[in-house]
Amino acid sequence: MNKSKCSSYLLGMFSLLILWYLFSLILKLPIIPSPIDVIVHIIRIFYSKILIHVSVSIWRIVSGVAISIAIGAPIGLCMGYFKSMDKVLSPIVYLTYPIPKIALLPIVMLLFGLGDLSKTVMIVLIVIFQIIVAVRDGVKDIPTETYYPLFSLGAGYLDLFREIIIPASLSKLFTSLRIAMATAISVLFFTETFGTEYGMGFFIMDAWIRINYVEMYSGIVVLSIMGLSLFLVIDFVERLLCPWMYE
Amino acid sequence: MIKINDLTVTYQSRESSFTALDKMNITIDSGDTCAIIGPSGCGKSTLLKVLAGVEGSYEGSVTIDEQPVMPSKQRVGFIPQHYGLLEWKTVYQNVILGIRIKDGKSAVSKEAVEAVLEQLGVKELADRYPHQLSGGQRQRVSIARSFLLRPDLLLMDEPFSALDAITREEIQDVFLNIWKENRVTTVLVTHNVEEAVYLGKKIILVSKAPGRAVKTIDNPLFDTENLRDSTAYFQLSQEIRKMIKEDW
Repeated sequence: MNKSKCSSYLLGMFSLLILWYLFSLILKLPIIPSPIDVIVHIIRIFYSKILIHVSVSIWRIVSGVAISIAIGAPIGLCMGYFKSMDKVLSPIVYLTYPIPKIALLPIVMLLFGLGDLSKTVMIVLIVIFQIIVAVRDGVKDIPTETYYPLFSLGAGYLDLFREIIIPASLSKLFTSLRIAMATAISVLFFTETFGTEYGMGFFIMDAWIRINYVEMYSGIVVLSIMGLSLFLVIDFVERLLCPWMYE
Repeated sequence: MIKINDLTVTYQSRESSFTALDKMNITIDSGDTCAIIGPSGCGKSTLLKVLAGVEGSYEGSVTIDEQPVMPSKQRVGFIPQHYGLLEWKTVYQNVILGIRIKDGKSAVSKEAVEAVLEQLGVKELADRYPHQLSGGQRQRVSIARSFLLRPDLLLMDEPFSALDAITREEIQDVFLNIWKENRVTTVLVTHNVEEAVYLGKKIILVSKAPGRAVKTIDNPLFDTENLRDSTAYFQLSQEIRKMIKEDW
């Protein structure tokens, strides 16, 4: 990230904090504590209480998204290139895409237990479709002429995928990943409010039940920072893998 | 030698069929350049696609050095209309792409690549990406890629049409120079009469769709010095224009 982008992020964060501070001053309600109290509280309990929850949440989200890419991207690549595969799989994808998969949580919990696995499965179920569709459309968008020089060289499928199909659809994958990440965090929060004692979802809801609003806000702030960090990681990896987009 | 006998290509869509090429007959000697000139939509590009092995469904016979077209067996360099550079590869990576796919990574000699980049005047651009280049520079890179491959056959589809007039003449000369050193059998498609006269040892006029080779001209002016300034050049161009007007 360059300097000006960095400073604009900081400015945005600062304005949000000021707004929040003003609200807490005007309303003087216990459910809107001052951001200063919250930040002080985070610093005090981060290592002793929050760190374990953040780690568990990050693990669930990263493993869920990684599995979604590992399965979804190859499916999307093949659907994009091989028309026969698209014909078979597209109806399945389109029929299952609009099902609100979050409603399947009870079933997933029955099948995969209450632990990490069911949370990860939930994330995969929701995120994988966005990745499949985005990657497939990315491959379909490649103009046919792009392949001609390679065809004329007698290139095989492996060459086509390595030299053209994968790099050409990579930027679409990252775009879909950004959208999927936001979805994944919401799903994660929801799943972590059931049957677990770890994760930011649990931390926030637990503080809420104990009417400890300062701690609840601490959880929300940490969850937000976690989301932002994951976005920055995506940006960083994209820069690494798609250098031509940044030159 | 390239022999095209009764080549017919028909595109089928759901309701209609469209004949792009109709019984086309062409013979091109090895080590010659052949300019194919015809109106838009006359099937010129289709002909190149058949020769490149991209278009596989056709009738008639097409042989390159007595062998049927088969991309995996022949060495064909193909420069499509918009140069065919891959946006995600640097100039260097683009230039070695052909040889890497054809002969494997170990066949790439750094010296040979640098020599070809130097010859085409794009050595300083080796680390840039295509979107950072001008049209003329892209075309130079594309030519570099084809010649590094040392193809048996070079195909060019409207290679210079997107360039401004001055750049076009410059790159045409760049092409001719490197061609003279390698004498690669070349088929280039164009709709520009002057370009055909300047670059084609053989000039073939193709009719409106469905495309047929209506006239073959052995160009006596090919590879003469300062051709562009000579009156014979203008005369031949004018004559071809007249023929085109009658035929199209």
